[in-house]
Formats: sequence, structure tokens, C-alpha cells
Amino acid sequence: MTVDPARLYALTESISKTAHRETESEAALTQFAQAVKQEEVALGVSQDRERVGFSTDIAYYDMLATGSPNFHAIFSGYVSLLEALLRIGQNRTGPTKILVDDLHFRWVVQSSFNAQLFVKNSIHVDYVERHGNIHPGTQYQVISQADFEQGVFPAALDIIMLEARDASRDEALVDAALGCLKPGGMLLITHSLDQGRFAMFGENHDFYPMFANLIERPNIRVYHIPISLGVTVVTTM
Amino acid sequence: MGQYNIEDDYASRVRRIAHLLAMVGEDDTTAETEDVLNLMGVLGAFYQPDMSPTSEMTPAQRQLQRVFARVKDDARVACYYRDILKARMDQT
Repeated sequence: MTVDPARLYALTESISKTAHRETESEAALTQFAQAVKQEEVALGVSQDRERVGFSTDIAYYDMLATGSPNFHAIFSGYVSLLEALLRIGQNRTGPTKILVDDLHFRWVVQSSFNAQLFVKNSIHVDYVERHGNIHPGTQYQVISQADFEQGVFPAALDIIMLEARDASRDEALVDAALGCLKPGGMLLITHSLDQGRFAMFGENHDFYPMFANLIERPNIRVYHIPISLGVTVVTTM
Repeated sequence: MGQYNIEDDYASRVRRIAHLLAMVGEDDTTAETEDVLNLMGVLGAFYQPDMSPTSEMTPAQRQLQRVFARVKDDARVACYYRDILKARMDQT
């Protein structure tokens, strides 16, 4: 029996009780993505598919802007998984210090975590600030790209979200992230299935060395969750 | 709110393109103006010089193919947002 993922995620999302769905409708998310795409098109930068490809960053807005129910179902299901992990990892005695993956910044900011948020300076943050309709009093701190690339992160973080593409490009970034976590903190490596390509390429995938080296590190646990867009959970002892 | 720094973001995209060029031994001083199709061609020539569509890949070639897919994607994202940010900065 084959399972239609979009149908499955739409079903399970309909019986979930998540903050990200309470604070934002699919229509609002579509509107956000359409505002971004309209701005990019108006700038005159070519949208030719050969030039922009199907990468996670650019395709994210492309697919959301179409209002595709299937894409919304799958993406929402993935966000629910991440939201659940953030809730599990949250600090029980005070604000949770989280370094947020910039592509997921919007829903984290809107999901009412009692958190001190950090995010790298990127155009995705800018889009959220100008088109994302977030509350004007929302507090967060932006880390420069220069600092992010050097692994200069805030200290004593409870949770770090790091996109797999960034993590695999520079293992020093993974070292820096683990070094900035409190004992018992959690690193979430997001989009770790590379839209299914990790399965296709297996040990030949460029994420593989990162994961193989990761499990050699002492005092951590590593859990791969090969669901939806994939997330790898690294907990520290 | 309002903490985004466009110059820092732009500089990071240019650094990324420069790194991709330098990785394959090309002149990285063209990073601000390098066309994405040209950049992908240069990367392809480095990572897949002997590939024909019907050839049987060795594991090493398969790995190179995967790396090529990754750097091509990186090139597209870096060039696209470099151009978006440049167009925005030129407007102000």
C-alpha cells in the first residue's frame, strides 16, 4: 500500500494542536511568499529556472507563493516536527536561548516561545521584518553573516538550529555550535534529507562525512529523523 | 525589528561566490559580477570534465557528481541573492 505524503500530513496536521498553525493561516503564509516574489520580480532579477534551480531558499518562496495545498501540508508537517522538538528542548526555568535557522525564523518568532532569540543576518530575516506581519515589539538579536561564518555564536545556548547545507559545508561550524550549547542543550540540523537526495546518494552525499564525523564526537547523542524534510537531533550531555 | 544589514548579507554572498571560484582555481576577483551560468560552467568543467550522459560512474565520480550538484546549488543561491541585494542597494 502506497502512502500519499501530502494527504498524510494534511490529515495529521488537521488533528494537531500547534502554535504555528494557531498564529498563522495558510492564506497569510501564501500572501507573505507572494509579497516576497513580487518584490524580487520587480527588481528585474532573472527568475529563469536554469539560473535559479530548485534550491531550498529560493524554492521555498516559489512553492509557498503558489498556495499549493500539498506543499503547505508537507511544510506545515515539517514545522510541527521542529516545533515539537523546540518545546521538548525548551528551558523549564527561564527563557530558552535559541539560535534560529533563518529559513524558519518567521514561525519561531510567531510561536510564543518564552525565548531569547538569535538569528543570522540574512535576507529571510529582512523579508519577515517587512512582509511577515510580525508584532512590532518582537525581540530578537541578529548575528552578522561574518560572525556566523566564523562560528562566533552567543554562549550558553539551549538550542541551535543549523541548516544541513551550512553544517556540511564547514564542520568547524558544527564544532562551534556544540561548543556554544549548555550541557543538555540540543543542536537541530534541519533539512537533513536534502529533499530526498540523501537517500539517493547515500554515502556519496556530501552530508554523509559530516554525519559520520559527528558520531565520533564524545558526550553527544545523534538521532536522525528521516521524516518529511528531515532533521538530525544532537543532544549534549 | 529592523536589524537586517544588507551590506553584510551582500558581502557574504560575494564571499561565497569568491570561495566557489577559488576552489576550482579560478580568479575570485570577479565574484561581484560573475554570471551564474558562467560560474556553473566553470564548476562543471572542474567537477565533471570527463562525464558523458551515458557513461557508467565510478564511486569517485558519483561522489563528484554529488559535490557538483551541491556547489551548483550554492552558486545559484549566492548569485541570485547577490543580484537581488545589489538591485536593492542600487535603488537607494
